[in-house]
Amino acid sequence: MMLLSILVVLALGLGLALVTPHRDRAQRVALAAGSLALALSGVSAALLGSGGEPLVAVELGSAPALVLDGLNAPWVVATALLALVVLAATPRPLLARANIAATLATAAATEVVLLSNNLALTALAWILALVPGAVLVLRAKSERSHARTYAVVALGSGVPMALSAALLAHAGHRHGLAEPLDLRALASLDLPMSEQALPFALMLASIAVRMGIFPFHAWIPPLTQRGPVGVVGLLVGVHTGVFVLARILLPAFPEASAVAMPWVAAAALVACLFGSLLALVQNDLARTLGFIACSKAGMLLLGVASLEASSLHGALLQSVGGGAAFVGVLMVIRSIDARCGTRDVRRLGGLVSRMPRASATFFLLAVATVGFPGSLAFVGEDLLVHGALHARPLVAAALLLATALNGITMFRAFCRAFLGRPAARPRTAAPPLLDDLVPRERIATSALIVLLVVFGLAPGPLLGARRAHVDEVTRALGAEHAAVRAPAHASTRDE
Amino acid sequence: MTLEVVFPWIVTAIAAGPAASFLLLALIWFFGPTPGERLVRAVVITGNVISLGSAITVGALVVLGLHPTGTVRLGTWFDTGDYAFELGFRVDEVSVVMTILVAFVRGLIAHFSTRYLHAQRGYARFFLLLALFATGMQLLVLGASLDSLFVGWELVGLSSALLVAYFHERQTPVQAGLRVFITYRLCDLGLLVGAVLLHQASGTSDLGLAAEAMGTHRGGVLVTLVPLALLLAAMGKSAQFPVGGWLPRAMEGPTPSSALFYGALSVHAGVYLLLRAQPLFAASTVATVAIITVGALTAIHATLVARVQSDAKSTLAYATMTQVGVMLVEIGLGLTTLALVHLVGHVLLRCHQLLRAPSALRDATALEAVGIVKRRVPALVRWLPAPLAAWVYRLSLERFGLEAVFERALVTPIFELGLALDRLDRRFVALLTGQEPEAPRPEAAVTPKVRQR
Repeated sequence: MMLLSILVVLALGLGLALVTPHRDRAQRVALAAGSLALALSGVSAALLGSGGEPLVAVELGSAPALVLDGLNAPWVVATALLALVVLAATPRPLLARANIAATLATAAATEVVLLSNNLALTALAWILALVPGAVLVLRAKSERSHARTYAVVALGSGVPMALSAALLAHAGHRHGLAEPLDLRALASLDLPMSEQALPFALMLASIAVRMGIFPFHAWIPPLTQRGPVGVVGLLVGVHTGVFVLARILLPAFPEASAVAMPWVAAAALVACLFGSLLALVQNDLARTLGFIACSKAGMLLLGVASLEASSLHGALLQSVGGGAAFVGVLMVIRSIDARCGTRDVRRLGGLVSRMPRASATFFLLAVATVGFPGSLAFVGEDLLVHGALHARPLVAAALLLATALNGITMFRAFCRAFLGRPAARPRTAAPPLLDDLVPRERIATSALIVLLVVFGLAPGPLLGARRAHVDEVTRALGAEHAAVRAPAHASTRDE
Repeated sequence: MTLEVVFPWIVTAIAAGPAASFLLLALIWFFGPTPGERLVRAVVITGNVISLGSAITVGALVVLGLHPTGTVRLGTWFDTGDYAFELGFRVDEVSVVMTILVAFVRGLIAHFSTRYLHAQRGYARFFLLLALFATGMQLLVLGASLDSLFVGWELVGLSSALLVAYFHERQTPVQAGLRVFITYRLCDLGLLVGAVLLHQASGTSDLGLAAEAMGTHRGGVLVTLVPLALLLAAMGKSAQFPVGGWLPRAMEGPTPSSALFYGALSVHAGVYLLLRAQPLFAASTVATVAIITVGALTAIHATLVARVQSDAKSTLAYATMTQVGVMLVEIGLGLTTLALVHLVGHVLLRCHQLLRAPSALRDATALEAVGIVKRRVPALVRWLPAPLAAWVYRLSLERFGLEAVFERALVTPIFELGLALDRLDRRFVALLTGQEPEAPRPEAAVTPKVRQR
């Protein structure tokens, strides 16, 4: 019941926030709901850690609809934490009641994607997670221009996922599965290649759109710049795409994965380099962060596509660490924007003397984003690069170039916005408010920094939790990979 | 309690002393008010004493033969089954010399700085970064594997760049810090690639074990690639030709940090890496030729440029580059003991010169004013034919145009490619949204322009 209660608490918080007339009271309700959801998810993960057996809830037929195991537990806790951080640290002018409700709704839908053991439920939540953001974008008159982009993303991500789920369930049914929607049963289903190709391609396309892999990236930078902060934080900061890759795509389509992943790796590398290059030349801090997120998404996909245990471990770690750092940096950027009226580094500069804590927070989270030693992202990147270099040395060498560029970009952004001479002229018509981070912002972002450092120094529990799943997936994929390569090698020998 | 049990703790304390100072100062600063000078001094000196005391103890135990040289294994940081990041310290003649040197020089500079920076804005920040640097440097010199060395390497790089930008109210130090960071970050790719390739070729990233294992790969491409990758990393950190243009700019930082980083320790980190990796170089003719060539070119380039500098710190920076270049040649020729002795002597001399530079300048001006100092024509000018001397002088004055070449060949194309992709991306988004693309930004504003010092 613990798992269901996480969702119930978020849904209750959402309902109460919507009916509460006063904004501050709605925020307090949402914070209480977020805190409770975080506590429940933390306790659930701890129970899992002590017993080892997955926690299950809500039987649909003979299979559980919700499952918490080593693979999804870190994401479930991270989602609750990021929702709480966003609710606590978003500058007040940006946190209207609708934003609070949208944040809780996105968090709830994301938690369902993560916890679900039912294919239909996963697909439904995958689509629903985009709805709160869509509603907010459509409501905001100034953002009408991006409503079309958002609609394209929602369709591009939702429709292929729904079709893929339907095809996979149909295949499961035809092959005699008693519960064709049960993800664990589908993972053990040995589909012929001819039946894997189409649902695999559709699901991969849906994931690529959601992760913002080039050329499906166009929604991430504008949304990071101007989108509703809670929705952006959860959609971009929680890498549900990586989760679905690890939970559904790789186990359910091992043969198709073994065939397609070299091509996916190449595409991921292009996405990674593209994001890095574009991030380097931006002047808007949020847009820079948006392209860094695109680059990181490429890196994560490359880690998964390398089909090596260490790179898969690295991608899973990096998705949690990188996501948390992304949300932290986003919070600081929005705080600066709220105080200075701009995110353009050409109009900023010298903020360190007026906002020392914001500067220190930005710096620490920025170096955590790019995988500096001591942060969780460093461990993730190290594992990812080791695995990728083992599988594809040339691709990994180019990946390293992208990581170097990302590091330079973030340090340069810090130098331009926070160091140097302050901009000579006032940036806005009204005199800018330059108070440093307020306590709630400091506590929220500091919590992220502490967690990134603690798990960066001791990543063992996170790695241990996922070891069984990663070993299982890589073993299955390794066999398929060998099987796929064998005919090719044989034909080469015959020639 | 036996020495076997205590020894790992003593070795750990060498790096843990400054690390604890850093953590304590960082926590106080981040969650409370800026720590005062007395508190900073107490924390930093305690860390120094622990570090230096432990380093001397370890040195004494090794020199007296009470403890053998070798690797002190501390455990595993993380492990995925097919790859594990081992934590350990290498205790041998070279690392013991270096760790004592690092602890001593860092302690000296910290002591000097407590007075030199008294009442300066950013006093606590300076010592915070100094503690981070000391932690990184000790991890670097004691790291048993390339993986753990990389952690120290990165900490040194970051603290280095931040200290160059110490006077952050002015634009030039900030740009110089950025330049340092960019060079480090790009050249650090060599260390990462080298570490992973080494692991792939030998199954370990322990340099000692790897060199033995690599012997079986003689003639393979990795035998050449690994040392070349490490050479790239060393070139960045030790300001070698042609990527050493950042060193004179780095003198924008406070004098004590210039002495510590660019006279003494940080600039020699690359030499130390190459000293450790010397067996790998010895196994590859191409790598040996490369290291000698880089060292010799740096020495010639830097000694010529040093002679035409108009400020003391730049002169000393290029003089440092010259000596470091010579050290690379020594390593390439297999003269590792000579290189180590050269390194220690040079660290102490250059550190003294940089710390003395401000007062030495004042003394020189006074002597010149009373006519005691006579200007001599440099020997090079006397020996070379006049047109050639003028040509060499001009080139040296322009630092052989390396900056412009890099700007044109590397920085500008990367930024132009990024901007072109950005324009395409904006058009693509405009197509999706059905609106006009946002106006392009002035390109000059995004290209990092760093003026010559």
